[in-house]
Amino acid sequence: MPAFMTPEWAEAVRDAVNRGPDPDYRAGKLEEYWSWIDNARQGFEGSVALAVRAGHDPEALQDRALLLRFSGGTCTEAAIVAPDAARDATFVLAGDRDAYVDLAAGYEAGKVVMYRRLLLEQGHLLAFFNRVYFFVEMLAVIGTVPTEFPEPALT
Amino acid sequence: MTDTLAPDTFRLVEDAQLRGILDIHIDDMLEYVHSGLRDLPGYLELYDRYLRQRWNVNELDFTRDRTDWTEAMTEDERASFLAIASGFHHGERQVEIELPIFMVGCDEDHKIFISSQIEDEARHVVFFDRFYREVVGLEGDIMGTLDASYQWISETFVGPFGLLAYQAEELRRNPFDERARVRYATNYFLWIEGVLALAVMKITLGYARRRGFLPAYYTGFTATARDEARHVQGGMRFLRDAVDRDPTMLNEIFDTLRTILLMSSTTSRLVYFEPLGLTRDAVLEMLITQLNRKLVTVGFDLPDDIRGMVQMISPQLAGG
Ligand SMILES: [Fe+2]
Ligand SMILES: [Fe+2]
Repeated sequence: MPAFMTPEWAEAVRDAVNRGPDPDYRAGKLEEYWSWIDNARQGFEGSVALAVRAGHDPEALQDRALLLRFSGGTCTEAAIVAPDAARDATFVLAGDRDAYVDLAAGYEAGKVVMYRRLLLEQGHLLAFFNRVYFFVEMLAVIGTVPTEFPEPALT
Repeated sequence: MTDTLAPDTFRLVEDAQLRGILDIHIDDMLEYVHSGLRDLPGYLELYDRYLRQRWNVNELDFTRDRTDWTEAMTEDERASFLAIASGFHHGERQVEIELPIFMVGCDEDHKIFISSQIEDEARHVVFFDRFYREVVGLEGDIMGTLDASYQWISETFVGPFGLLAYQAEELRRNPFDERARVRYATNYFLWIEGVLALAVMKITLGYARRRGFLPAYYTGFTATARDEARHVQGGMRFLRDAVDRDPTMLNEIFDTLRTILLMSSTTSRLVYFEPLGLTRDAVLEMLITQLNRKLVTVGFDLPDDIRGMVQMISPQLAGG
């Protein structure tokens, strides 16, 4: 099982994001909702970074982040990058390690946003919400990618 | 003040104590919201109304409601009811926790009024918590009943309410950013409270009244609608003052509405309104009417592209 925030995990995330949710999950929501999301994805030329934050300090991004680039409706690149490179993304979402652990354990992606477990550290707020269901369902898919969370080093 | 309600009805709605609320028709309560919009009251006047209209959520007795729920209502009615009421259960909680940060950037009179609104929203959370616990039968602490009712809300709930959470975070970082405050107020007071909440209140309350069911729910939620009248009037006052001071603030309102309407052009679940005596088209019509009436009464004229988007709304069943 690839460890969280490793290149192997990033590749698995890219595959999963391009594959989309499984048919059973899709069937639980209206087709019009999925076509709204398709529209949002097709029109998105940009990137999303998922960063790990220590506590509530927006400056304290940890050493690695996932950067996903989108073009023509596809996730064309998934890379593990340093925080400075993550800050070049169109949108940077950040949360503490527990937010990602919970997401991987099946915690609802909608709640991750609504309860501020992940926050928009950077990027135009209204532009993010113009495609919000695409991003939330992307988080849900990322949560289904099996991953291990190495114990954080004691400092 | 009374241009949309007969004077004695206006007084009845304005002055009723909790016990008398059962006699008020929900349509009169919704009219009451608009009766204060043309001459928007000041914040201290709204605060004074709060002191007179505040109600005690623990005075409600849900015993009859529990019997109606388990013995008189059909399975279809309960399912439709939950699909609609759960958006309020969560909506009230979200507007409660996201409001304090807005208060930081308010002037002094406004701060006093917002403090009363925070208390209102907390009481609305307790009201729904009691309803879900004592009538529907959910268990747990406040977050426990919320987690248990989450299954009934649409995925698209995260549109307006996720936006509100992130807007509150934006204000946390910069509480005096006037443009961000106007965008926040557009989502919170104009859309969530003024459009979604008021339109959706009518569905479950109209049903309860027609069938003579759920008297404590009817009483508490109609009292909630009267609280919302103050919130919407205070919110519209804030937006109108902001635009009067700086007409370019209208762009912030319109940009926010564009995003909200784009998010509102879809829904992830089909809700059957018919068991509660309404159609999807009728609900849509209520949403559009609520939006237009708010905008017209405070004198904001919508650009054509937004008018077009309004026609594309898909009903979102939530409020705060
Ligand atoms: Fe409210
Ligand atoms: Fe409320």
